[in-house]
Amino acid sequence: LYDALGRYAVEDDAMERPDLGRFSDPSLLIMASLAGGPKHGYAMMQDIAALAGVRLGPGTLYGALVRLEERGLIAALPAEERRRPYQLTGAGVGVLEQHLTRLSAFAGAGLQRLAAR
Amino acid sequence: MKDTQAARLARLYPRAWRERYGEEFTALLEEQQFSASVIANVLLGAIDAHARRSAATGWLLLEQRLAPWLWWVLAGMFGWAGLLAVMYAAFLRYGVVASNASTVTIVAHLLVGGVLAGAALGAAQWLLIRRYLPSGHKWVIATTIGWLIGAVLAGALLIPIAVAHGPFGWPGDTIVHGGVFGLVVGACVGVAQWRLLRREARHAGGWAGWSAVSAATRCWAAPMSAPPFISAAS
Repeated sequence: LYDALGRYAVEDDAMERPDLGRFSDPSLLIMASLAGGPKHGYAMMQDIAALAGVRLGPGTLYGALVRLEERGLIAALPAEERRRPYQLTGAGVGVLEQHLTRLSAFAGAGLQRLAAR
Repeated sequence: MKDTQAARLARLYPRAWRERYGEEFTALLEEQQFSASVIANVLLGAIDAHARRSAATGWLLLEQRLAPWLWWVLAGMFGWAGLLAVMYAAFLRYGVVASNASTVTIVAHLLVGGVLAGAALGAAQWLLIRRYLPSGHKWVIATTIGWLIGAVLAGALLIPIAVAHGPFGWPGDTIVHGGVFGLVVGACVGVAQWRLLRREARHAGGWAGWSAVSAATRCWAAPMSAPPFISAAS
């Protein structure tokens, strides 16, 4: 419960901000997962677990999905039986690319500092 | 997770949310193991969805229900403020500075002010209801005519009172003269507007009454009111 609550707090705080740097971890994980192609909810959870070792709860997943869809960063595809796949939009691709570039620069700088010790 | 358990958990979410995401969300829940952490996570998600819906509903209420009324009041204030400004200017010009100005001159200025104010009031109101009333010029003309008829009737009522009784003092002047002035003018404007409104809207019968009450309220609330002008005219 604490973990879920903490994750939501992080997400809400992050989603209030307009720029990508303030996006929450779940949203970023979802967009990174969808970068590999359209997926429905369960496939996203499996992919994220394999990609980042993070198991998103269904409430967290759909809380982030709703926000991402409202902001036009992902779009729903026609339902396949009861499952509905989602895909990144053009705006979503740009935002994800920008955010990952920043993360990469941040990671590179951190690794350089560690190497200099 | 059993389908009944998943369906019960999904029902924790708002109806509008379920209509959009309910089917796929329930399908996802059915693939989860029934556990305390999943239940807690879904519960928090439902609380979040309700909170977001409440916030959105609040804004909708503000935009769709409250805001039009606020704009309507502002439109009325704009028209009446214009009237009072013109009347006050006329009062200063002919009531104080040129105390020898004839009653006809003062009344003529007040009528011109009334036409301008009535037109401003009608135009401001029509801007808000133009979606429902295609004939904007008729609304403005009706408001102006109603205002002028009301002003004449109010003057016919109030000038004899002012002459016979003299000043009531403050706030008596504002309450008596302003109230009567507002009620009469508001009622006449309301009747004139109702004749147009009844063609476009049902239940328009109370329009004149509300118009009278709102106009009287404005006159009571206004620091300047009819008395000084009535006194000047008399």
